[in-house]
Amino acid sequence: MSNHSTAELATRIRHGDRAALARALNILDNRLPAQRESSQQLLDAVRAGGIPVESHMIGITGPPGVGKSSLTAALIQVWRERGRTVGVLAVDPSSPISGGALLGDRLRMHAVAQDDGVFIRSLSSRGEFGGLSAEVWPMGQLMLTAFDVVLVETVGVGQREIDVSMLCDTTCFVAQPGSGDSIQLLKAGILEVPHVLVVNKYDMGAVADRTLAEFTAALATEHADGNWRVPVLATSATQHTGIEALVDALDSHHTSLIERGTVAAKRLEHQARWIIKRLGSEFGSAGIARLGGEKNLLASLSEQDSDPFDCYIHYRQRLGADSH
Amino acid sequence: MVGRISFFVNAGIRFIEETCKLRAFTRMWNALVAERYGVEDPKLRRFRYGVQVNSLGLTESQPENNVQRIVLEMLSVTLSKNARARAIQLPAWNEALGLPRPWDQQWALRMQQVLALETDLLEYGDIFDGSPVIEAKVQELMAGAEAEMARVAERGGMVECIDSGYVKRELVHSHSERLRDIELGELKIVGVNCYQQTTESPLTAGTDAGIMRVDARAEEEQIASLRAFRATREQADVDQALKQLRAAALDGNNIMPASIACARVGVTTGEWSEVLREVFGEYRAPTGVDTIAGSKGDDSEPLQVLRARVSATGEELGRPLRLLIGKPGLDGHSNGAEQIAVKGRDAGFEIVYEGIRLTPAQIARAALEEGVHLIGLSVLSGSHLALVEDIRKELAAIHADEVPIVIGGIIPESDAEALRSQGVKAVFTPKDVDMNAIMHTIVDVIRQASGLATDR
Repeated sequence: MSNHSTAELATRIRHGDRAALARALNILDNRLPAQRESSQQLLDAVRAGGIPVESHMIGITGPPGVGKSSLTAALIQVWRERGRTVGVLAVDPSSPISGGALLGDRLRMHAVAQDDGVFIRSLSSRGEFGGLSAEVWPMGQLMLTAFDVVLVETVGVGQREIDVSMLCDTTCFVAQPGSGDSIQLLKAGILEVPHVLVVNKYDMGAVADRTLAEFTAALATEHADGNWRVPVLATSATQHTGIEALVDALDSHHTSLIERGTVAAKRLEHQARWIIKRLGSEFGSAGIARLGGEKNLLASLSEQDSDPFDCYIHYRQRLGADSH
Repeated sequence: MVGRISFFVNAGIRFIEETCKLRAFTRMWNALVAERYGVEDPKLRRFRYGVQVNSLGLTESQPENNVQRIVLEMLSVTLSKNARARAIQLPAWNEALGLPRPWDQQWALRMQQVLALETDLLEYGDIFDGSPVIEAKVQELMAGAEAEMARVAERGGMVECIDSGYVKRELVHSHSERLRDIELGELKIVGVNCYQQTTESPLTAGTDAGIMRVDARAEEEQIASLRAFRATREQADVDQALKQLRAAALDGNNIMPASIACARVGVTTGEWSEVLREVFGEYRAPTGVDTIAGSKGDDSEPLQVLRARVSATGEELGRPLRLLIGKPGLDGHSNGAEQIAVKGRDAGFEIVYEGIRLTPAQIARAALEEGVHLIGLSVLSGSHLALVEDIRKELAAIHADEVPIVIGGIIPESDAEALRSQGVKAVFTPKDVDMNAIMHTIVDVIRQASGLATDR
């Protein structure tokens, strides 16, 4: 694909062309060398047009069965009522044996067929249970140019939900009433502290109250980001309660990032992590070590806003791989 | 109240077991309502049920054999006087071929009449009382049913089990096992995986190929008659009745009085349900296709070969093969779609399947947004021609018409021909029992559409 046509594709996406977006997502998802080149041009074009800080990338994660799809549905409804457009990247686990996967809960998330304000793309974890494949970050960048809110929904267990926090402006962890495990993981520092914590299925009564109190106590500190106190909220997606408050909390985290002027820096760090992730999956931890270790690599990559693919190719060459 | 409850039961070809199943049902219901609800009158504790016997076991190959299948299935729900069905609806011999004609339905009705009027069945009391063989099987089934009820209770009750997908998952799983057994030849189906040789059937030789042809104008006539009916109503009354229905639904009141008022002024079912949908939303039940594959045959060589091909094609195309399985229209026969979804997942496809009753617009949208390589439709309602046309229009409207379509269902050969000439890449019918072969055809279609060689 020529530079010209990728630029045109990027423009069409920015103007809400759904077919163009679908096509571009297919390109970003494609691992063939020729398509990788198109991906690079596409992402360049997207970056050149600017990725608005007003668009908000949100990660929703939590253990299986906690009601993430229902919560996503309720959130989409509120966002649409407030006149905001929503792009969703829903990640489902794939089978380690066949590589196959059952994707999506599209209709549970959004049953209105004719609403152009919502776009849902499902993805499989491609073998990484609870993890995110490397394609998610560029897809998210693309969607940020087309929607007010981009939601990444994924199953998170233990340490795995860190993946989503390394990709999103705001991370929201959804917990189950009675989920003592999550509280222990959080206290032990194994569970990444989210920006917003939600106890869903609050209609379960006393057990939900207890869990809410425990999380509130466990999170009575500021987020490592600084200047942000983690709200602990109660929702019932099925009864549609607490959803407005959740939307407000997510918004206010975004606003605080904008006010502190940290959105761009944060996104640059996400970009750095994406480059490291790709290098890591290709060359392993030994490769990362040869480049000076993850910490140093992250620091130097986060310093300046350079082309992510150029950086990736540069480091690949340093590791002696063929370039393409 | 208990006396007014009745059940809808399905019965299959294993007619001794099915006889025992209905006896077990009758006994368990009797005991349950006596113990749990203290119903004293035995008449009110009677397990009242109607039956639509199994059309799942009917075959497209040698369809005349379906007649004896249906008769045997009927026996299982009628032989026991103490557990006899109150109403029976028998399928027609040709339901795996297409829609039955009036004559086919008459034949099914006559089966019951012969049993009731010509045989001596009704002259005797319960012919199985005291049989140790029957009793042992009944006990075994009751123990199994009680264990399942305990599992459901443990998981929070039936509503929770439907919502969590447990029930549907078990059903899908059980049917997967059945198909696998047929595939492996462990479950014999005459005319399908044994005794396949046949002379040509005179039943399907007629100009109509032995099935009902739907008049294409039927839809228009129906719409015209609905319009005419609506024109006769007092619109202000209709609006008022719907307004009150909405108010009752919103306030959480009993909607029955408002519904009766709606019926009185000629509100249609569609208008009535649309209001309720707007207020309550639409429930999407779990599809159950996230079942864990069974142990049998999962590592069979044909499946390994298929997996390797799916994976290699994915690599050639740069991303894993994605398949949208769409079930458009109003028929709820989801077995086929579910089994293709499960098989596709096991073969290495990324599957998007959203359950039954999708609109053409929903299917087209999902195909675009999910970036699928192929759309597989499943239609058993007879309206495949119209639905495929609608879906193609919707796809064209959103610039996604390059995605190839295949279809499976009860589709007569003449319609299959019409579908292929419309551009549908493959048509599968009940004759296609080899699921691996279906998957290979799907891979072929994807390869062809992407310009890859199909001999690999």
